[in-house]
Amino acid sequence: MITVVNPRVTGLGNAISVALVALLSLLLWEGIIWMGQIHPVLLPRPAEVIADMWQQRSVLAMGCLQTGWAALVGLGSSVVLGAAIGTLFSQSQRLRIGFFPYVMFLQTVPIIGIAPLLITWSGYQFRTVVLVVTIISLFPIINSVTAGLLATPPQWLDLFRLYGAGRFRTLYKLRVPAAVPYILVGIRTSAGLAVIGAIVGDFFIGFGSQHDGLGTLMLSWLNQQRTASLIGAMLASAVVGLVLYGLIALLANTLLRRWSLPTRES
Amino acid sequence: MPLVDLNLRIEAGQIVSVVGPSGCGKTTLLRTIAGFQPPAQGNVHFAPEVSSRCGQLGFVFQKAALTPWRNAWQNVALPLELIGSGNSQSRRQDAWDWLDRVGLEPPDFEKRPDQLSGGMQMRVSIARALVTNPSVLLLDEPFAALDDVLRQRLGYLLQELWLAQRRTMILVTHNIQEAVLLSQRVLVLQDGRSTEDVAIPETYPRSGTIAEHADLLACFQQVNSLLQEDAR
Repeated sequence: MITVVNPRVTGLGNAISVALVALLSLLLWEGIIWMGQIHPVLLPRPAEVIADMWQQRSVLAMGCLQTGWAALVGLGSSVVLGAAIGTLFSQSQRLRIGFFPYVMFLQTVPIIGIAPLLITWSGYQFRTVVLVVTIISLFPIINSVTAGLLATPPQWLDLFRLYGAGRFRTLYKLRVPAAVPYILVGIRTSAGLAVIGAIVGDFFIGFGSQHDGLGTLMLSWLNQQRTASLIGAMLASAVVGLVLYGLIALLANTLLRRWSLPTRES
Repeated sequence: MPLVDLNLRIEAGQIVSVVGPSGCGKTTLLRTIAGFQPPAQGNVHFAPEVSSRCGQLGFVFQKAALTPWRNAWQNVALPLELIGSGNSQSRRQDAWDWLDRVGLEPPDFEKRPDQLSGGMQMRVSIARALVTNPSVLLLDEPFAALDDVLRQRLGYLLQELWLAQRRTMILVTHNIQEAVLLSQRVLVLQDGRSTEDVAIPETYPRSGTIAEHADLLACFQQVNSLLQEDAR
């Protein structure tokens, strides 16, 4: 027998499943506190967290905006910088071989190790946070741009050779458009890292402005032992990550539809 | 597969097929003629009017090789863009004309490659190879991925295009029937050497299958037995 699945019913079913899991988690959370007699400083009740988030809504919203903005600006600069470096790498094997180990090195040094130096050089301000984000999200972009520009199918390269296209023409008319799916994967990976970078950077550096980013908020609430607010800030940072990731995914899906390639990695 | 002692002269306007088992050097021969890979020894010479300008060679690749970010007519117009011929208006017009000649309907001109069937993609690919009006058209197993009906139809299209303008065509194929049915000469290649050069009687147009042409059938059997012998 063939069962026809109505996608709308399935979508509703999925939503119900997700909501059920959320409800069960909240019940479990309440249950643990009720059974374990856990002190609110260790684990506040869900209702307290929600009430606290509501109370702090404007502070949290500002924090999200600050952190999101830092992540976006940092991601933008790493895309520009990474595209430039990746393009150079793709055009010269000597450059690639000479510089790639140092790019790898940049990737392997923990961001927490670089942050104090950056503060020394650039001070406690917004641009330093952007710098942290750029450094942390640069590697996947360089990697994907280089790999993408070098992965052009040989038949297309033959076609361009046949009509006497030079290196520069082949680059912008063929290699770049052919690399778009690769580059988008790199940007998607970097988007996740950018949010981490923004929060970590903010945690160390602060934005040096009147509004605090999520990292600064977390640090000050940690010192005040405001666990409910900390959980709220954690949820807010997840929202920032989701929104940024969603924006990139939207861009990727729109572009990849033109490239007629699978839009989802499966 | 390297080519060995291969001495081949193709007259202007001839249509020649190259057949042989996999790995015999068919594609190497075509790629060498196209200039994609230089010969280790020896030379490829073109008549002066062929070598003088870019776009005098057309190449039809296996599996169409259309770029997915360009629609059908933009793919066809690409060679014109690359050799800097005409303006965007004239390039579009040329691309449309060629798409029309290879049998696409105007609504398909704007479609992306993934929206076209395999046969249509191959037609677009042929139009792309012809848009610069090349003196020589090179075809590397263009119909290998298509079913028999499409193969026959596109073979017929190729024949029509050749009869209309008599440009030089070199077709690499696995299919002996196709080779005999389409060409004036069939070159049998084995281990990078040319083992036989079979002349096909000049009866055009040829349609349907090989069985409908008694004279071609004899050629088919000759080429077939040559390949069988070589295989032994």
